[in-house]
Amino acid sequence: MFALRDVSKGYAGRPALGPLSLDLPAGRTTVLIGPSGCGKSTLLRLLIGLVEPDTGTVTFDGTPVTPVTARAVRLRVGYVIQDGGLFPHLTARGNVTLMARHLGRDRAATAARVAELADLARFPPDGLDRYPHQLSGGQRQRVGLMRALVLDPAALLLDEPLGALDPLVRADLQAELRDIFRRLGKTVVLVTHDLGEATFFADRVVLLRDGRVVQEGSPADLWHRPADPFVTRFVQAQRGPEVPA
Amino acid sequence: MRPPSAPHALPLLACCALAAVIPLVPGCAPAAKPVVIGAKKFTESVILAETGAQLARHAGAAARRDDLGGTPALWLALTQGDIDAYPEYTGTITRQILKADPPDLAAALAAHGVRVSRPLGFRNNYALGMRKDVAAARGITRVSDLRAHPALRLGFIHEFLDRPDGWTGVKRHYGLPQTDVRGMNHTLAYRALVEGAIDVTEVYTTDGEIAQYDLLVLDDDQHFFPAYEAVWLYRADLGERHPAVVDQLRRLEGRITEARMQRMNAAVQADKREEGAVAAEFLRAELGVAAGTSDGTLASRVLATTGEHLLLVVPSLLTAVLVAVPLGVVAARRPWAGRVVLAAAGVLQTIPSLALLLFMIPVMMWLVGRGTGAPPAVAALFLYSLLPVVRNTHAGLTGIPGSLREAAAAMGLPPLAALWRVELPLAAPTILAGVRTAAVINVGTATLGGFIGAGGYGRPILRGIDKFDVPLMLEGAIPAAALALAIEALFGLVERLVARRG
Repeated sequence: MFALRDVSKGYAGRPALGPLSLDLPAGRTTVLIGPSGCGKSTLLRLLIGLVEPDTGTVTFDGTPVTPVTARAVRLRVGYVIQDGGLFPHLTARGNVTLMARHLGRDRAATAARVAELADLARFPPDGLDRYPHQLSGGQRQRVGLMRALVLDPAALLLDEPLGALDPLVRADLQAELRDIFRRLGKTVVLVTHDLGEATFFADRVVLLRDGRVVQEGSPADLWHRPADPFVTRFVQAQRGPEVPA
Repeated sequence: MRPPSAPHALPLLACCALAAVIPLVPGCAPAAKPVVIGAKKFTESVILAETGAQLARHAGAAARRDDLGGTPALWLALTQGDIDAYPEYTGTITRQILKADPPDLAAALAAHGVRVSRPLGFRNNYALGMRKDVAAARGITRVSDLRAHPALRLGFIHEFLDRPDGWTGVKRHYGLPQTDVRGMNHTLAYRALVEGAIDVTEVYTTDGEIAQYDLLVLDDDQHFFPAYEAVWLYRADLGERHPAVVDQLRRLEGRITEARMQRMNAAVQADKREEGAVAAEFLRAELGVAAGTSDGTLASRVLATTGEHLLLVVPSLLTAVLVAVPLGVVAARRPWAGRVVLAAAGVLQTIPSLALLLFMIPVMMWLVGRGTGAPPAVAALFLYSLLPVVRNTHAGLTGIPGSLREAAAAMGLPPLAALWRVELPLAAPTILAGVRTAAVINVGTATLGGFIGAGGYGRPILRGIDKFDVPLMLEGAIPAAALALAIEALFGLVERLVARRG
């Protein structure tokens, strides 16, 4: 679905990403993981042209992503950021339908779509007319997901979607999200720094370090067939609770 | 209930205000142009102009008085056609307006499309005045006696300071040595003289204050000051448009004695009577003419000045908002443009408001052909209202978290739609706060419009200062304060509505 060829990107003269080449297959969930500053968020932004590469090309479904095509690409890709990135001056419904209204979509069809998405994301219908500050963190994230899905995109990008939630809500939402991903069968690219979350979601994991791909494969590959000592260190750094006997 | 979102509320508000104002703007309402009699900003001129306006009304024409300021403003207004006539003095015509002493004054003025009446009867000469006790203590009775007292403190109106027939001329003619010379308002100069803050000021020989404060008028022993005989100056075309008005104005020729004029001046200055009432009394007694005054009741006057004030404030504020918000958007989008725009608006704000107002006179003369009255005031207020709105629009837009701007872009909203649907609504509370600041500054600054005949609350305030008439000053000051408070309250309400969406 997405393909990067020899892509690199730097900020203020310092390389942030690449050069790297990567394919993100359609219909699968790919998780980008790595320590802070490894370039995983930059990579996600490159996919929909929020960031332009210094060298190389990014293509989506065969079309190169350029400033000219970026808007058309974004309409076919849903994007969710931490805490939902909701607009505080719009209600939950206003947030979800913003793009459909801008495009002049049929109002009845949009309303039906909102009801369908609320059902999918298990969002209470009476919450639709509340403003973001009147919702809980988990509810805001559900609205963010609904907003990303409203135009029925071909792909869904999520940047640390559960980072701001407390552990219990997070665990519930992880399970629900994976369920939704499987039911929709869309191309999903998810960024996280949590290996547990990555293995929970991923068909494929891409481990990044200093802007380069260290290893790419199934979660099991990272555990059992580490490509280099960094992978081993990264895997072992994710510790479970140490419970005294 | 869902509160209205700001992108719909803002233009709605603007449209309502615009719709309310347009019928009030002069020029938009169809009406025959009334006869306008100009007045300089001192009592005698206002009384004479008031008699002129009443006589014009007696002749059956719609007429009003317009208080414009100094000689240059009146002459400009007369030749441009903003006013039809005004009372002037022969000495001022030769020395300041024509800067020549032609053998045939009427012919020289006709070259400018202006006619002159025969003298109205009295002379109002310039002279130097002192407190009698101060003059006696130094043995001063004549202007030439001033040479021996270089330490005397002098206070003149600014116009007198600069006129060739004023201080610069007297100083050269008599070789006067004084260096402590200050410019001040005529009425304040009288107060300063009476209270001993200055020793000498210029007086007009018909001033009511000469008798009121028992002042000594110094003898012009070397004959510097020319004769200042009061006359009407009127446009040549007034005789064609309103021949009856010219006939009525000229009925005053030779009818006003010096003593009579002094009494009328004192009635206004010392007894705080209305100029219109004093003028009407004179016309009734002298010519048997009974015409309505321009004074009106307190309520009708405040209503009229409020209307005039709003005509300055609302158009200037609305256009400022319509220009400043896009400027603020550009400033927020392009950092280099932002620096230029904010710096330019900041510089505008540092220009003293009165200076900006006066600067707008030639500019508006050139742009719309009207250098007095409302246009220059509205233009100055417009420039003055820009900065708070530009700055707050810029601050409101740049203060939006980057994650929200990115969320809008990532959805595929094009830049203009993102601005309209996301950024402006988010910045709306900050922008509104800027408009509120601009509105309050605007209401206060608009009172300075009184200096250039723009009307509004500044008119009674300035007339009040000229006459030292505190109730008249308050007639402008109190409504101005009330209007500022009302605007504060209105915007507070709108801001709460907008901010409810938290």
